[in-house]
Amino acid sequence: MIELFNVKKVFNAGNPSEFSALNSVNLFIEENQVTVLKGPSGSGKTTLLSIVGCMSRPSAGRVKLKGREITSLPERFLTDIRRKTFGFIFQQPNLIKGISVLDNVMLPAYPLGEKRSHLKNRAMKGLSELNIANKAASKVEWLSGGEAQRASIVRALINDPHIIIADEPTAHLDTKLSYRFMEIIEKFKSEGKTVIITSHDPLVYESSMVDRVVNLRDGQIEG
Amino acid sequence: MKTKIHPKIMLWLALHILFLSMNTSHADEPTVTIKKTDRCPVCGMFVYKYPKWVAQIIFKDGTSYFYDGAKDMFKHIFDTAKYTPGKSAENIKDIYVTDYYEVELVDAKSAFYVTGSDVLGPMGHELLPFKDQESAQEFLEDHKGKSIIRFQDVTPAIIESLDHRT
Amino acid sequence: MILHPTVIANLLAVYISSFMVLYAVYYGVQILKFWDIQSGHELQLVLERKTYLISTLLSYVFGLQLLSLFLFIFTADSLTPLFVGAMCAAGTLNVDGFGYPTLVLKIFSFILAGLWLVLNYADNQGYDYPLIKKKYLLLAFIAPFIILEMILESAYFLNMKADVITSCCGSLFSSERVTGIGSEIASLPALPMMRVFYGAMLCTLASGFFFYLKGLGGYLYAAMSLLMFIISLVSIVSFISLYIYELPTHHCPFCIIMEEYHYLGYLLYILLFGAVVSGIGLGALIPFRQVESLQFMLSGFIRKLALSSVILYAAFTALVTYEIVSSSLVIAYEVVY
Repeated sequence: MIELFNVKKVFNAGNPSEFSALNSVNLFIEENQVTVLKGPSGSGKTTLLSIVGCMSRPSAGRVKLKGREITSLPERFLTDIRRKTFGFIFQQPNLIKGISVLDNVMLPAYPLGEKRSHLKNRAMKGLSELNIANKAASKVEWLSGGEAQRASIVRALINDPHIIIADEPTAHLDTKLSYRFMEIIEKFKSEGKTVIITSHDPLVYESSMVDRVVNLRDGQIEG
Repeated sequence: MKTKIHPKIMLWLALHILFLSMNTSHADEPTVTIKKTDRCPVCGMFVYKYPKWVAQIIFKDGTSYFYDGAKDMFKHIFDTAKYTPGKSAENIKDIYVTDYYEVELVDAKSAFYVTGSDVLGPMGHELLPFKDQESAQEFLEDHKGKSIIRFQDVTPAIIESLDHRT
Repeated sequence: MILHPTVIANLLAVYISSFMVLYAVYYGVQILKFWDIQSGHELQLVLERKTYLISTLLSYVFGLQLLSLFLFIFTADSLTPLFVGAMCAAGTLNVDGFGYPTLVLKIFSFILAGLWLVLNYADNQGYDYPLIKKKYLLLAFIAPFIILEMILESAYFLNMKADVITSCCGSLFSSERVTGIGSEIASLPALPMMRVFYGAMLCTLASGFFFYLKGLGGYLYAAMSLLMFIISLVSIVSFISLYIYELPTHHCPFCIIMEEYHYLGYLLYILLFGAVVSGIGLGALIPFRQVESLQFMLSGFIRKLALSSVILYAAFTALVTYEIVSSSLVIAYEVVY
């Protein structure tokens, strides 16, 4: 599904502050599985995740998505793939203040030019599946932590992506909400989606629905 | 009282007669209404841009042409059919050039032309027209002119030599 | 040197273009030597990033190059009052020996720049940089012309002296002087030349339409559009100018850009240059119709280029015909110069 060949990522190359975040990473991520990238702070988890999710390019090496090489794609092609294939869930909900929950959720779909009424229906359906349909018109500042996280999940799903990328999703959630989150992940898996999560929360990586745990240390995969 | 008014009235009358006679003599001079679209038939330049150099030829059939200098005017005379097919030099009625000092149109056939001077017209080296010998001579001395010639002295060879001077 | 704003603008434009082209050629050489889309090597990824930047920069530079041809002619026209004997750009270009060579080179690099822009646009539509090596090869070919143009143009403007008497276009494009290409073209007989022009244009338009409809004969049309370009330029000097000026001896191709002629020259030249660039451009793209990553768009793009070229040539012809028909000049068989 997703293959990484000799991926290297170096920041500030050539400067004294040169930092090698990833060193020759070779990885194969299976389809329709929940893969967790585990490792201490600074091990390169987020960097690796952003490369897998087409958000940044490596300094060396290649990444293939469903057999198609994506690291050499010109920007407009990469953006297109990213928009349609991936859904992103971050540590913080990162909802945009000043606009409603519904607008936030519909945002990633705007560049695709879909008819607004269709989009709105899809968004409302997503919100009701996570039980926050009643908050659709609310300003995001009024949501509780869990509600905000759920809104960001609905946003990640708006383009019906095949792959969900989550970066430390339970970092700001209490135990109950964390379990709720993992239930949502299980639902994704049953729908045929692929999930990639970075976490150093044992609740996540020791969960029964996780198929594979990849250990990262100092930019390399252990074991 | 009568003797006092008389001279004044006489003066007034005399001035008016003089003025009127001047007006009637104006009718013999060309009407210099240059349109913005008038171009020299020899080189295509827009004549309105160079009012101090205007030359004019009026044909017997009433048509008239303007030039941006005496040189082009002579070129037209020497080869009329080339620049205006169907017309010939025999049908020319009047020719006028602009006196360099007075900046007014004078009859070309009676003018005095200075060649070889350092004053350049829009077309480069020119024949500078003057209405009398004295002003032509004065100009020649002031501007290193070579010779003063009359209308009938101008030949195609002289025109060509003006063109080829650098 | 004459510190006229147009002169400064011209020189600035050509220096910026030259600098950017040299910078681009440096990376272009690296790309030509090391480009390998399959490898994940660090250099390859750096080159991929670099080409994105350089292609964008060059698009603007070559766009500027297209404009600079017209700016150059405009400059020559604006400087006319400074030179005795000059009444249009023809005279200004003649003040020193570099004017006309610069113009010829600028025309040449206009066409090459347009060609590069067409190639670049097509390359950007593919996801695997299908035409990248051809693009940078063309750039390497264009670069010496741009540099030469910079040298000639600098020499032209820097050598300009205000106390020079220059030839008027009436004598430069006169049919009397046997020396000089201007006279040779001007002395081509007008009516036969008119027949050549319309005949060639008919063939060119027919070929273009045929290619647009059937997709055959692209190379033929490209060649014909180049030939038609040259014939059109010759025709402007030989007979089209006569009708526009309504003067049977005035062949100058530069006076038609003047205000008094409603800037007609600019329109004529824009149509003509646009037509030849799109015509040659489509010829350059035909060999790549089978490239996989361009499959979905290249044929459509080539057809659009063909249509544009045909329309531009047709518009040019329509404008020329209008001028001939509405002119008060009548060229009879005998009186032809």
